[in-house]
Amino acid sequence: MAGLVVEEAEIESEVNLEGFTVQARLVYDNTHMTSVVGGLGQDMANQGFSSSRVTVSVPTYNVAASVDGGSYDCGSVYGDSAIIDYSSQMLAAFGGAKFGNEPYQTYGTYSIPCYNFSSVCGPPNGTQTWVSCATAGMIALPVTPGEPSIHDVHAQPCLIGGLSPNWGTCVPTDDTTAFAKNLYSDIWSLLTYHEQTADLAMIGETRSNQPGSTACEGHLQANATQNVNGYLDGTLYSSHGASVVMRPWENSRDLLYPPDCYLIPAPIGASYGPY
Amino acid sequence: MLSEDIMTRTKICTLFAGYAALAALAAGQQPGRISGVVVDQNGAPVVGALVLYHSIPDAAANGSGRFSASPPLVSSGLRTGADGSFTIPGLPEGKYSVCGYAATPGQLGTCEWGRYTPVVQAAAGGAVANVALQLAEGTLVTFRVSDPSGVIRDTASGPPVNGRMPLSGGNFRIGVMLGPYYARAEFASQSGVARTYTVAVPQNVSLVLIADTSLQVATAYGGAVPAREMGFSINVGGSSEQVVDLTVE
Repeated sequence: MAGLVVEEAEIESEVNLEGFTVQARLVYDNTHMTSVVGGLGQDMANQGFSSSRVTVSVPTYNVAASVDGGSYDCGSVYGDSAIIDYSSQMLAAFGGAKFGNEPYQTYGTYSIPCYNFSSVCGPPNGTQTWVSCATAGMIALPVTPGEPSIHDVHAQPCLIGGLSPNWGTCVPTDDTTAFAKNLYSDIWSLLTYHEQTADLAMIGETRSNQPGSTACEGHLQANATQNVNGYLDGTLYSSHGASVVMRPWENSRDLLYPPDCYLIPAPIGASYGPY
Repeated sequence: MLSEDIMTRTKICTLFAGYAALAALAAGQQPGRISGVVVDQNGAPVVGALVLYHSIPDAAANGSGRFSASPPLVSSGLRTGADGSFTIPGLPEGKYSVCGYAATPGQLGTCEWGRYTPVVQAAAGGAVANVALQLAEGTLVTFRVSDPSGVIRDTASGPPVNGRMPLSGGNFRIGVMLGPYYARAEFASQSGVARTYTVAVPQNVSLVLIADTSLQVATAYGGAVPAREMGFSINVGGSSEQVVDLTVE
């Protein structure tokens, strides 16, 4: 179709390759010896679209850090921020590195998978010996398509409540601006360190600026503002803003919260992205 | 295909029942402990074997109805002592995967190639003892890769920054498949144009070589190894080592 550009073909949403390595069969199916992404990329190319825009999206970790304003951050075994460990895992699977359960994690009280510098492997030093040690038990794909040229992160930054009974539950009254700044800057660092700076960055299913003061999926309108403010404070916007799409989550298909969320996708304007 | 012998070793050791999060410790529960021993195929203790353990995540529905995994809250490893024993202290109540990996090349870990993965249930304040992790005798396959033109590139460009693991780049990866199981041969050494990559595999099996590369790969007999496809088999015997020569152009 003349003029049509496909920026992304997202074949699965919010893949967690650390917890569920079987999801890597969306990239390469080792039971049928089929390169799924490779085949779909070829299909895209056959239609005149970019073959490298076939990808999966990933979620992010949220940090349990109400005591320090959400500014805590640390490195995963990949050397990227542990907040975006799912992104590192996805790039690893696509690019031919190890992925899966990271053997030396220390979550501490922040609930993000920091690499444990005190492990038997010691601090990261970039050597093959260290990599082999620190990735013991992790797996790789037989055939890898290479990293896609779009990086889709479903980010809904929040501060989680810490330990039980609120473990894993966002606290909507906590200001997420500082954490959002960290998260988005971490994405830019990942793209920089792994030489993916030509990629588009899709921030999919991010906070919806729902009308009124009621909650959308438990999140307040203020959280959407904090999310955008954190993004604008970070290096992803300052260094890469023209190649970032902020795509707010609209919830029209979810009947659980229809009165409180936008039912129609709402463009947020050129200031925050190219679309 | 895995041998019947390996498959019959499958053991799932569920010793207790229940689940709780790390919060249990904060709530005052006493930590649990798992101890055991890593032995070789003959039952002899293995000194310096790696024991990796991690809590097994539960899948739970989030607020929007999607299922996601709660992260493994414990994930770490240690090495066995002089008597092959190990003790993992300080565990919150929950289920744990505990895997033993060889201290020497060629042995197969307990969680490799479809061998059993012990799942141990640790109870608060309890001690699970006598977890036996038995390694298996395997064959260390060494790929000797000749790269006379120096076309193999390991990373995108330059050395890792701040010790970061290279996730992209590199143009040559090889591994072997056995049924649905795959293991990548790890880079082991380089001397001039010669590189070696090694992988430990079960004995007396037929493997399929996978060359994940756009480079031209040929066997010692001149036959081409198809890129990113199955098509070149390696028959592994009962010896502890086997060498496969390849040339990259």
